[in-house]
Amino acid sequence: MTELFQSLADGIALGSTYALAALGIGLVFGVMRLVNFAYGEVITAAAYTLLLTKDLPVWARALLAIVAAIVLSLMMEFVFRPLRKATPATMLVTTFAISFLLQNAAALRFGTRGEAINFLSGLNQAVTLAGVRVRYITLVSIAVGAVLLAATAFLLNRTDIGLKMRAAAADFQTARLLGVPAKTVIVLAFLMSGILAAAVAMMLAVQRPLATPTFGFLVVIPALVGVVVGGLDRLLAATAGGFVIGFATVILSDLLPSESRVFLNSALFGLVIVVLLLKPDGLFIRAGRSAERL
Amino acid sequence: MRWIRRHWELIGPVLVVILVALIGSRTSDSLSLQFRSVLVFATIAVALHVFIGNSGVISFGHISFVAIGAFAAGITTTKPEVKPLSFPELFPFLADLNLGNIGSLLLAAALGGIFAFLVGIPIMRLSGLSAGIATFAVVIITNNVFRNWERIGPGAKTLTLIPETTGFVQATFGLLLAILVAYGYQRTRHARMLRAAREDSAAAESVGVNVYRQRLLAFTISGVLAGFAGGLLAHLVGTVTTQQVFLDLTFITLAMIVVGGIGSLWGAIVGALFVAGLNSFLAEAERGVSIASMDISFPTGTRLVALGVIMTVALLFRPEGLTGGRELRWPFRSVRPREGQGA
Amino acid sequence: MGDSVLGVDQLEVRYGSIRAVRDLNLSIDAGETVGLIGPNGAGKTTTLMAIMGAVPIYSGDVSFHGRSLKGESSEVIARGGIALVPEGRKIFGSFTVAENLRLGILGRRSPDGLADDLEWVHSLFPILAEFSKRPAGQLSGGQQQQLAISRALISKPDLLLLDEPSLGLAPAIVDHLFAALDEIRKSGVTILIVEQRAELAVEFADRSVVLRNGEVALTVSGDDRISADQIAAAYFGS
Repeated sequence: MTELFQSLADGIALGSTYALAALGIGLVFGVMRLVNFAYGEVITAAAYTLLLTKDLPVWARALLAIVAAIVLSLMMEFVFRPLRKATPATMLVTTFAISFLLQNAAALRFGTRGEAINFLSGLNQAVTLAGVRVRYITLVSIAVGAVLLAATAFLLNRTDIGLKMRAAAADFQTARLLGVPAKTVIVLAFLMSGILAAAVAMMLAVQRPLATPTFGFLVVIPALVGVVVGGLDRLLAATAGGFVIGFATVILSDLLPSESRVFLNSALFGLVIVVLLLKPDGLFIRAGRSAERL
Repeated sequence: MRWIRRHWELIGPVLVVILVALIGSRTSDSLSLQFRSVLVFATIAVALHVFIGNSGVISFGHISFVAIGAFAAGITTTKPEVKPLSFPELFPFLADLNLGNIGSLLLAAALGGIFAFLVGIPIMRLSGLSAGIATFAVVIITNNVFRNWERIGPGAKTLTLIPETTGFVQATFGLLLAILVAYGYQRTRHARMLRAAREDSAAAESVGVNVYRQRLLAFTISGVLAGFAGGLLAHLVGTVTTQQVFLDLTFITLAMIVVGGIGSLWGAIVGALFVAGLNSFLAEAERGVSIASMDISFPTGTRLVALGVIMTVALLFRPEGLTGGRELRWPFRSVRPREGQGA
Repeated sequence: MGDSVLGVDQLEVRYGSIRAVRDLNLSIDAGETVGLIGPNGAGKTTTLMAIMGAVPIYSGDVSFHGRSLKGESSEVIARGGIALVPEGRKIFGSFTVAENLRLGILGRRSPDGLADDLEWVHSLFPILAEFSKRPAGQLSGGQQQQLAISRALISKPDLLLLDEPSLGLAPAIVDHLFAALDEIRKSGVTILIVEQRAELAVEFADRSVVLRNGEVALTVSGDDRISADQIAAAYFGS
């Protein structure tokens, strides 16, 4: 029984982290119709920043990681700008190319073996809560996920700029005809996704303490799959999709007998195919409403 | 003459490929391998084009067919006396099977096609990004299974001692064969229907095109070609690992057809020659080359970065691809100009 | 008469090699209501889109209060005082009615008088106040059109562009809608209205311009007792 609770807590924790990454991808997709594979490298940039600032106090490291993620995210916005009129295939492959480029640049600079980040490693200690032992980072991940999701929801639903972003995501052309500034909402989406990427990097840096060139890529792949499985066209559905992938990863890995655990990816992605076949518009999209977004 | 012009979309690329092969066969050993690998990459690109170019649906899954072809061709040509020692877990029938070069290529093509067909049965019902992610799931699963199931392959180890039979003749004929199949398919009614559905799926359905069935057919044919190309690849380098036929190769080959220009056979070939050629050039540059009496040498690892930069720049500045997705035009003035009419 | 609000000068718009609008001249004074009518594909919507900066101007010019709009983006034009009620209404179906209106409010140049304007819009279309919290997608077609008009109006534009407001609506609802539009007109808003139903526009507008194949075929004043034959001739050529 306690094992079950531990699995659930871990699942929720990984789910919240993936949900943040999914939200970051979904925000940019909403306003640009662009699936950004290179989002992983924004996370990686934040992780390497944590690595390079080892000697600074924690708050400074966190701040610099956020700044680095925002800067790289905004640089990507600038690079993607000419792509707005390109076909989806070109957009996708270009983001892939940038991801590939940045990964290999990181490999060139830092090597592929990885270096220890040493960020808040004390959070890996466990605490006993109602008879269940959970690591602090599990609780922190859940809390950070909840706070950032709530903050984003507040911004989108309760502020003027949020309304503009939602309008741009729902119908870019009409939003512009109503005076919604395209550039502002796009820049803001990239900025927010940069902040989310930094948060993801920090949560993961505690638990997977090696900075490698594929640090972020390995998160973005499942998050992206989650976004499509959940429903690309609605931010809430996409975010929930990210959560489900993270949650399912933990639960499946605990359910599989230990000798088959190496086939976790097969089980997970097999499930993804099944869900896509059953609900091609997204797991959390009600039938007949796929035309509306957000 | 008229026959040449009518089939220029085929003959043009064929002549280009032969030219590349002829140049390559006159070079030194290490350069020769680079040229042959360009030809094999181009074969994979042509395989991708048969499905993606005609259907307009992005597939991330084709490298799983390449992987199957590569492992099938590798396993069935390494010496039976070596296999049980290196790979004790292998199914006995696989350990005993020895097909020889041609037989192994045929098996690679057949398995690629069968797997594509089976996978396509459910997945071809999807379109857009859902289809893309589903095919992506296929490549993840294939990799995961190959890596961990040592009864069908080398697992996480390297499959070595595959006879290196993909010389210039085999690489060139392999690519030409793929081009011929792609061209032949492209001229069928099936491909025309699929291309109509690419422009407007609903309209195509409304005039009776079964989009699902046409996609499945294209997917299967391109699976055959991808499996075959995988076989060529195994026989080219002599070793195969699961990482070699995974995401990097997926990305590089997709980049080839997009950089060349999605939608045309010519685009796939141009893109493959450009990207793979660049890759080979940069690989040589890392070892140090001398061009026009200047010695150029890059530090190891710059190859992939430079490749990434050049591909990004190409995509940003020619988003429609180097060929714009058009087939190769007859380069001489036509006698009866028939273009420029209509919208 | 008064100041020219909108000036269209030898406007030409192309889609590829197709000339959708050519040699269009039009001047609208403050407080005037002008109709733009003509058969399908005559270039009516294209003209509005060119004014809004949503399609590029090939040659000629569009000016607003004497200032050229050529090369300006839609968002700048919208915030500059031109509001469009687009064809097909284009309301945000998953947003509430209030949120749709707020999008219009965000386009205002000044917050002065917002409360009065909101009250006025709600008095024109009381149903919008009642359904304020509902998703706009649940409204009927006529109510959605009211919302689209209100959304444009609440941005307090100097020029209101209406694209096919009667499209897809039942006759009784159209009558009701045009009664409201008449009040809007009387309040002094300058209006350019595109209508496929010529008789509606000719009756409503001070004067109407008939477009055919992208060109002006006829200009009629609302006071002119023109016959259906004349309009038909302008529509189909004779």
